[in-house]
Amino acid sequence: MILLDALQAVLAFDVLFAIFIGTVSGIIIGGMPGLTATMAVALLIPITFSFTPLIGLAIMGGVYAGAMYGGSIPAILLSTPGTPAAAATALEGYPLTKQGKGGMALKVSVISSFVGGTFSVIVLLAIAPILAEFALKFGPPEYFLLAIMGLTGVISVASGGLTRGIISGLIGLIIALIGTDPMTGMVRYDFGIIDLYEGVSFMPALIGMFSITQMLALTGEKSIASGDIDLTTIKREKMPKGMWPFIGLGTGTGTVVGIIPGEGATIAAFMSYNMAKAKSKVKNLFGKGNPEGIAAAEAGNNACVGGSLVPLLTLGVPGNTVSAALMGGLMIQGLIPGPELFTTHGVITYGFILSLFIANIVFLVVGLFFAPYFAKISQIPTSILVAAISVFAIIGSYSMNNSLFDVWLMLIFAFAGYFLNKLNFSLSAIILGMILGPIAENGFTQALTISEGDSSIFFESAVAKILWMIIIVLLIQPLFAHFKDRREKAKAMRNE
Amino acid sequence: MINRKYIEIIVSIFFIVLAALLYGSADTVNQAVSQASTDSTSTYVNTLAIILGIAGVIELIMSAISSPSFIEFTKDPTKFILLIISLVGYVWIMEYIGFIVSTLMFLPMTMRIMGYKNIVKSILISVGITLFVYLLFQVGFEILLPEPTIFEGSE
Repeated sequence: MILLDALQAVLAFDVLFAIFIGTVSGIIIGGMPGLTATMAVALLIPITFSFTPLIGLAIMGGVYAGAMYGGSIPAILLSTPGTPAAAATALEGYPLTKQGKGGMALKVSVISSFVGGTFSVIVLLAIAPILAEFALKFGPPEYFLLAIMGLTGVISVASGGLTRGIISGLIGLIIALIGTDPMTGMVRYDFGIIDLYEGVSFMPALIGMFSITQMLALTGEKSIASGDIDLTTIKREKMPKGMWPFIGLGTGTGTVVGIIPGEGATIAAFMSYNMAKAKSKVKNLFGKGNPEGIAAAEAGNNACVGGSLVPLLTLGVPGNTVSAALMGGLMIQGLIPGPELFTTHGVITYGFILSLFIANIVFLVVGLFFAPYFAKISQIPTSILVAAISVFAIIGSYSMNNSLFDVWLMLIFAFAGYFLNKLNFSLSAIILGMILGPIAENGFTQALTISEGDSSIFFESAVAKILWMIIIVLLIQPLFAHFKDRREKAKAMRNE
Repeated sequence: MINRKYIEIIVSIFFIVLAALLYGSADTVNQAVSQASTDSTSTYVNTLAIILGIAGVIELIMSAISSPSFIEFTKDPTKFILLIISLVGYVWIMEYIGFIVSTLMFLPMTMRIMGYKNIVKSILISVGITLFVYLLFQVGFEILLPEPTIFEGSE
C-alpha cells in the first residue's frame, strides 16, 4: 500500500521534473573532471531544503545516479575520468575512441551503468526495510559499535594508511564534541562563541572540504580536460555481443561493495574491472580497448549507488561521502534514518528509492542520444568554474542558517582540509567522524550509564560480537596490505 | 617544494598536544555536574584523547624515521595564495557591502586570477551568475542574502 502511494507520489509532474533536472545536472557535474558527486549533493542541500522532502531527495538521488554515470563520458572520449570511479573505464574507453569506436564504448557504458544502477536499487528496495526492522533490536552499545564500524570502514581504505585514517576519524569525532553535551545539557568546548552552542554544523564542513578544497586544487590547471572531441567521428554503433556476463559481474560486485561502509564506487569499479580481466577470454585486449572492461567497471560503480544507501537508510550509517551528504539532506528535511523511515515516512522513503529507478531511465535515454555533447561541457575553462562554484559554496553555506559564521567555518574547514589532504589524511573519515560522533557518543555514554560503568556491556549481545568481528576484520585488512607491500618492496630492492 | 618530513613531525606533535589538552579537559567538563552520566562522558572524551595520543606518537616515530621527501602544495603558488585572499576578502567584504556588489567584484577578479583574459566576457558572465544566484536564493527560496550594512550608521 505504501509502495503504491509512493509510486503515485513519484509520478507527479513536479517530482518527475525534479528527477530529470537532478539526473541531467548529475551527468554534467560527473562529466566535469574535478567536480564530484559529493560536492554536487553538498551544494544542492541548501537549495533543496526549501522544497518538499520528496522533491529535494529526488533531485539529490538523481544527481548521485547521474554523476556516477556522467564520469564515464570524458573518460571514454578524452581519457580524462570525470570522477575517480571512472578511471578504470578510461583504460579501455579511450583506446576504443582512438580506434573510431567511441560510439560503441559510450553505448556499453550507459547500458552497463543502467543495469548496475537498477539492480542495486532493487536490492535496496528488497533488503532495506528488513534491515531497518532488525535495527529495532539495537540498543546503545550496538549503536556505538555501529558508528565505530562505519568509521572503521572508511579508515581502512584511507590512502594515507591506517594511523592517519584513525587520526582523521578522531578529528571528526572530536569536532563533534563541540556544543551541548547530550547527557548533561552543558555547553562544552565552545570557546565562548555563541554560534558553537549547538555544535559545528557539518554542512559548512562538508561544503568546505569537498568543494572549496577542490577549487584550490584546480589552481594552476588551465582546462581540466585536455584534447578535443570530433563529434562527427562518433557513430551510433550496436552493443557488442558477450557483454552480459561482465555486466552481471560488475553489478553483483558493485552492489555488495556499496553496502560495505567505506568501500566506495572507485573500489567497486576497479574490483569489477580486475575480475573481468581475470575472467576474460581475450585478456590480451585489456588496456588496448576491451569493452568487457568498460561493462564491468561501469556496472560496478553504478551498482554502488543503491548499495551505499542500504546502511544509510536503515542504520543511519553513511557508507561513503556521497551518502554522508545525502544524510545531511535527509536530516535537514527532518527525516532520521532507521525503521521510521519505512513506516511513518514510508511514502517519502519509498518514493526516493523509486525515484532512483527513474533517474536510471533518464540517464539511459540521455546517454544513448546525447552523451558526446556532454563531453563538450567538461571543457569549460577552469577560471570560470572555480569562480562560479566558489560563489555557490559560500552562499550555500550562508543560506543554511543565514549566518556568515557558517561561511567562515566553511573556509576554515576548506583550508585545513586542503592542508591535511596534502598530507594524506582522509577528509572522508573526518566528515564521517563528525556525522557519526553524536551516535557514537550517545551510544557509549548511555551504555555505560545503564551498566553503571561496566564496559563488558559492549561485548554482551550477539549483534555486538558480530560488529566487533567486522571492526577487527576491517582494521586487520589494511595492516596485512601494509606488511605485504613492505615485503614486496624489500624483495624488489634485494633483487635490484 | 617543502620538506614533507618536517611538516609531518610538526603535525604529529600538534595531535599529541591536542590529545593531552583533551585528556586534561575531560575532568574539567565533568566538574560542574557530578553524576554517573558525566563520568561516562569523560570516559568517552578520555578514550578519544588516548587513542589520538597513541596514533600521534606512532605518526611522530614513523615521520622521524622516514626518508626525506618533498611535498608540492600547489602547482601555482601565486594563483593559490591569490585565490585564498580573494575568498577571504569576498566573505569579509560581503558583511559590509552586501551580496550583489561583493559578488560582482569577486567573480571577475577571481576569473582574472585564474587566468581568464577576456574582461568584457568575464563581466558579462559575472553579472549572469550574480543574477542567477540572487534570483534562485533571494527570490526563489526567500533566503535573505547579506545586505549592505556600511551605510546603516550614517542614517
